[in-house]
Amino acid sequence: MFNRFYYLQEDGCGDETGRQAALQANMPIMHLVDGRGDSVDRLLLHQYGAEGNYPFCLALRDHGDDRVERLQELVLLLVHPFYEWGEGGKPLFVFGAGCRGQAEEYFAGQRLEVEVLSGETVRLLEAGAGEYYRYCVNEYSPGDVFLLRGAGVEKVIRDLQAVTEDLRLEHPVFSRLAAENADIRKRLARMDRDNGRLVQENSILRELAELSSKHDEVDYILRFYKNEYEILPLWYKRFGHIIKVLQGKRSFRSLYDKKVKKYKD
Amino acid sequence: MDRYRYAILYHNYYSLDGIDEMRQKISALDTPGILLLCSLPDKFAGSLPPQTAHEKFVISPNLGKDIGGKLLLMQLLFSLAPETPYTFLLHDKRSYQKQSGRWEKEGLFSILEPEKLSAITAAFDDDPNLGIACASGYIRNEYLGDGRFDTTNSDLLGELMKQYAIPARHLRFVGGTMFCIRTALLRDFFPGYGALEVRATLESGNVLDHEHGTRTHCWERMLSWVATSAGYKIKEF
Repeated sequence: MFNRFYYLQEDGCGDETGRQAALQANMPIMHLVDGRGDSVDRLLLHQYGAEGNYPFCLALRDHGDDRVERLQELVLLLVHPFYEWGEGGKPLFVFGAGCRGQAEEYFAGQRLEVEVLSGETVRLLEAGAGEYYRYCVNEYSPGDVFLLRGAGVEKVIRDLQAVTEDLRLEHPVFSRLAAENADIRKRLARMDRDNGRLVQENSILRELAELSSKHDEVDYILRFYKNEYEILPLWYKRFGHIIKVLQGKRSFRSLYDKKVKKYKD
Repeated sequence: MDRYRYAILYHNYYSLDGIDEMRQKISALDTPGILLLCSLPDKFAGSLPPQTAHEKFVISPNLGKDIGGKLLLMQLLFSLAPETPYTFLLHDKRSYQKQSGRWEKEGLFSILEPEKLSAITAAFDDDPNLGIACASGYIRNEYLGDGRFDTTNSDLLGELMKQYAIPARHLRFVGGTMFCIRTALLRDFFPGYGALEVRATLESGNVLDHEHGTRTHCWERMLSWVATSAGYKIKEF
């Protein structure tokens, strides 16, 4: 396939068969969140369980209900390690344009790089694999994103793989360029993320180096020595010598004769 | 979700070695706990950390240093295991600006030593007024009176005290923000998505408060006041 494909799981996390088929075809799972009942709570328990270690993302159904609470409850899913990275951040599909602006604003406040995608770039593949063939020949655009949904997704995926093979044979130039383009876009997005990480890491290392350089170890030790030993009054030190003599650690003669050995072995 | 006696909320900032260190400490403990971990995206460029039965990961950009990470993990705890009675807040502290950074970390982490952990949970069970348990020698009090504090964060702290109705008494806090607190106090102080709301107000990056106050450093103090403002005690172990 020459576009990004996702398997839209509308029943929360129930359909194991379709999910496994999509994952085997390297197709991330998209969970539909519609704000009803405890659907997000159940999804949280699923994704944060041992069975939730697979690439996924979220789709938000816009009911005209644009409460911030609906976005807040998605944050814990967006910071899940297996949340998918798209080309411009973590993809969040919004069906209906109502809450798009609010979603972008809210997640920016949480410093989460979220790529809000809506109907302009997202297409539902409803008429099977043949529809994708016609799309590739007539109106292909590398930025388009496709969603698969419903029962029998295993067959649709197999058909899509066959259609991709047909396109390779019948339209070799298109297939090569489209595949290269998809690969380049993917690599570019990864390099962009790596660059962001390296910039952040570099800034951390620079800060640590600056903080470390503020330690003047020699100065610290000299100050410590002065404060602990030099700054003491002379009588205090002399009293200490007498205690050492009383403890038997030092000879009495060494108190007034500098030629004798001070401390006993 | 299993029931746990305690949860460890650990913010990992510097190196993944810190996570192994934490796992070793937990393996030495008799009582089972749940470990919630927050780290930065750059730490996992190669392979993603899986969720397991007793270990949950989040990956988040650096917002509010360890405080932002701990707030995120609190929200996760409230969602996954809200009935866990005690919560340990920890992070991989490296105070490079201080000579004593390493000793401080060892001291602060000592609350996870098996004997101390048993003593702490027993003390919580015995004393209903105990809100926070911390390592010995880390309780601070910067309050000078008249709404002023002996820190660059003084003005911001005053604002937050008003906003959260923190009374000007019992303003002691645990320096280093590593302690064990009753989870119910955190839940009450951050109802709904309160922890995430506070997180959104914190500064990005590895902010310091040497010259100017920051909300991040204010919340270092405020997290202790979650307990003291509700009339609970802090005790050293």
